[in-house]
Amino acid sequence: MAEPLGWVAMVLHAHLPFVRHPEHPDALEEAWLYEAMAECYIPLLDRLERLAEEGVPYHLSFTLTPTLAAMLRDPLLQERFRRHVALMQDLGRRELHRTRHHPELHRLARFHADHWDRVALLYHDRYRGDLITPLARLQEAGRVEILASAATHGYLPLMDVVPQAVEAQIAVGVHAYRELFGRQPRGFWLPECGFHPGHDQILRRHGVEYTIVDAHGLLFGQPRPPHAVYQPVVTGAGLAVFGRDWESSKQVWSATEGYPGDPAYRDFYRDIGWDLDWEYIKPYLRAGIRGNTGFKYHRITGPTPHKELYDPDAARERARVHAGNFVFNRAKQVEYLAGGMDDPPVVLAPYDAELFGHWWFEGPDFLEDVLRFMAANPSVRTTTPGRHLDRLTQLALVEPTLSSWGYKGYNEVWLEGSNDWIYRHLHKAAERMVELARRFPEAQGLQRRALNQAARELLLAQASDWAFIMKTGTMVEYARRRTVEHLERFHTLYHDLLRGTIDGYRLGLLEERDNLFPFLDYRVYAPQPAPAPQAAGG
Amino acid sequence: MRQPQPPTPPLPARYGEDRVTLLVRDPETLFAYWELTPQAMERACRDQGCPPEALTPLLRLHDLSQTGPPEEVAVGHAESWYLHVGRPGHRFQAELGFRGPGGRFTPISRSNLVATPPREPAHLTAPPVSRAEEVVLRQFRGVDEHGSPQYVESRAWKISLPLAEGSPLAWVTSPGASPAQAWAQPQEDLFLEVTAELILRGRTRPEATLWLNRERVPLAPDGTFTLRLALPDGSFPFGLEAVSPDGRLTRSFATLVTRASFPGPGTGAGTKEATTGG
Repeated sequence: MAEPLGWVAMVLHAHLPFVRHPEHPDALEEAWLYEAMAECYIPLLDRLERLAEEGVPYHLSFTLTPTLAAMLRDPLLQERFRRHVALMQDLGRRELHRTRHHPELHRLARFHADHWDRVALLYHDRYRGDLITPLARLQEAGRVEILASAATHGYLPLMDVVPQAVEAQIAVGVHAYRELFGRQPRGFWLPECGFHPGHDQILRRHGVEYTIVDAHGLLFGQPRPPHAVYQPVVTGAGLAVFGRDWESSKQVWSATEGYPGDPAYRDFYRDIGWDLDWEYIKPYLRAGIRGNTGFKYHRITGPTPHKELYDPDAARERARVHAGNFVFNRAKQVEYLAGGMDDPPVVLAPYDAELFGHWWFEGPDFLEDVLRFMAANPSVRTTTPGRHLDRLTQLALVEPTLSSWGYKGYNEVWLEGSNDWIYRHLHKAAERMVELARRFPEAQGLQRRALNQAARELLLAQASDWAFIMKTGTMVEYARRRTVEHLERFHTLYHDLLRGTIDGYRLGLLEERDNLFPFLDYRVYAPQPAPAPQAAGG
Repeated sequence: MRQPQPPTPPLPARYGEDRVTLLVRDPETLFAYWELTPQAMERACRDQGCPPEALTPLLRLHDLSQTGPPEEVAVGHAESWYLHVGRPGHRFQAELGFRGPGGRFTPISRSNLVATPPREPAHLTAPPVSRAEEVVLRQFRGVDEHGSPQYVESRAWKISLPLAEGSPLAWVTSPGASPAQAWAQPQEDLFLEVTAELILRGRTRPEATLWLNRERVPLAPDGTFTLRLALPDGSFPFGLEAVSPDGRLTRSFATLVTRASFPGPGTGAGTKEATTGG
């Protein structure tokens, strides 16, 4: 097939904070993981594998954050997810029974029961509890490109006060990637697209080739990029930078103008967990309080509290129409852009992966159709940032500016009245961690374990999710507690290490509880060795 | 119901160190947090020769991108502050200390340097840099499957050795210098760019309404105002009118500002004409 006029690089960013609670048999927050697995990650994998098997030449990029990957690989959480799936299959059977005299509802109960049976089949028999390997296989097959990301989704622009903290988030993220996929990442997803000038040097130091910033981070760069966001640029440190395209983002993201708000799609908020009799539904709810079960029988209908029943076939058809519209618009977009450019433009469209399937139930159908349609489109086809870079022969030299994809485009989401109090503590803890790494350059045994655990606790405290949750105002207490607990654990370990009184029992408990990154080496916080003098001539 | 959570132990309220830290919130706004120890207070008392209650804790914000006195904020007992500076693309540093009864300032700590991002596209557009596969591609690749970053760095350095200064690829060899400028300014050329801005300052009653050529001018809480306007060549009348809250009293002030520029021809080969901008 001839070269198209332009390319679309869709990037799905899959992330959840580390919400593993072994101490609690029924933690509410673990439901975030199970919902995302059942509604998003497994359905997406299922479709991407099907497309690959059919030989559809699609390209798609993924980020899988280290915290999410650690949870997906955790035996305790895997076992708990299996139990969750079995419970939902049981609910499916009861729903089939309950709705047997109501044909329309019965059809919906059947639809949801089938969904859970399919999830169970895929998770148990096909993936055998491992969702990482199928993704890695798709990468090896050249269909998917997986980007690395920061260790715990720390928001790097506000960490820049202690550069070593930024370095550690990036170093551990890259290391986690190599552990998972057995190769060096080409791309690195900056949490929240948060870019701070200078971080390109750190990324390059860890072998990263490219990253993605929000459009204004590139548009206001110095000097001005010649093709706005439709061609990557390179920084002085040698990092290639792609800019996010707003047009394609809005069509999918926007709750009002975007596709997901269509009246035919399944309504996220109506759920039998809220609607049905307490005694009946109670065994299927987490922590004994009302919440979502994933059985949702209504469609968005419109701006009305009265919701009509969902029609899966109509919604499926609507997803196909929307996918056709999306591809048509991208084709028009690149046809227009290609006019003034030497190389075919690239439209980089990043999305939260959880949008597809979790918030927008039909999202995986939409994505499947988009990939199918683009594979056959003469004007526009899918690519990945890495593949696009390989095709280019020249890039403009631009230094992007401080920016993020958060509300208002800068740091305000993570730095405002509800959450600004955390930074004095986070910065202090990071400074103390650097101090520890300097004081104990070659620790062994218990001391080494304590240092590694201190680094883990610091990384966990730095997750951008906590500041974000504090701002949004739901589950605030949980976010506050997570920040304070990890910092408190860190400070205790810090004082124990300085006094030489490490409590081995308590350390063991912490290692068991906050068990991510078994490979972690606290020396990522050590000051960088001065670059070796470069011998002339070489 | 949820199991009761054990109470979380509190974080230390203070770390016993004098520090002030600046963070950028957005192009217009900075955030500062700080800690002042009792020892710092004692030091300031000795320095100023006054009792503690006569000292005013003060945050001084230096704009490193322009000349002029620092902005001062009397912070009282606060330990953090949002500073609405409204200056995208500037660099800042803060100092924390005490002002004594005589007005003299005793500095205690100095912050990190921060830069607000610009709010608009740069004037200069980047020229494309050839990827010259052999050189630049490897820079992007960074690490091979088997190479360490150090190896690649040293290799990159060796590869880039033959490049002369001023070459479009010189940036790969000198990460310290601003590559964009190196590229835009060939050594043989000299340029001179001049822009002019007009600053109008004034004061009226805080509750009055102030108009400039029919546009409303925001007043600071103390009734002062500052207008900063790009000034191209030409004559520009400015008419200011203050109106009392009840609309009965008005005061007006008019001024005419003229700018005329005379770029000279310059001397020497390859000279670019001096340019002016608005």
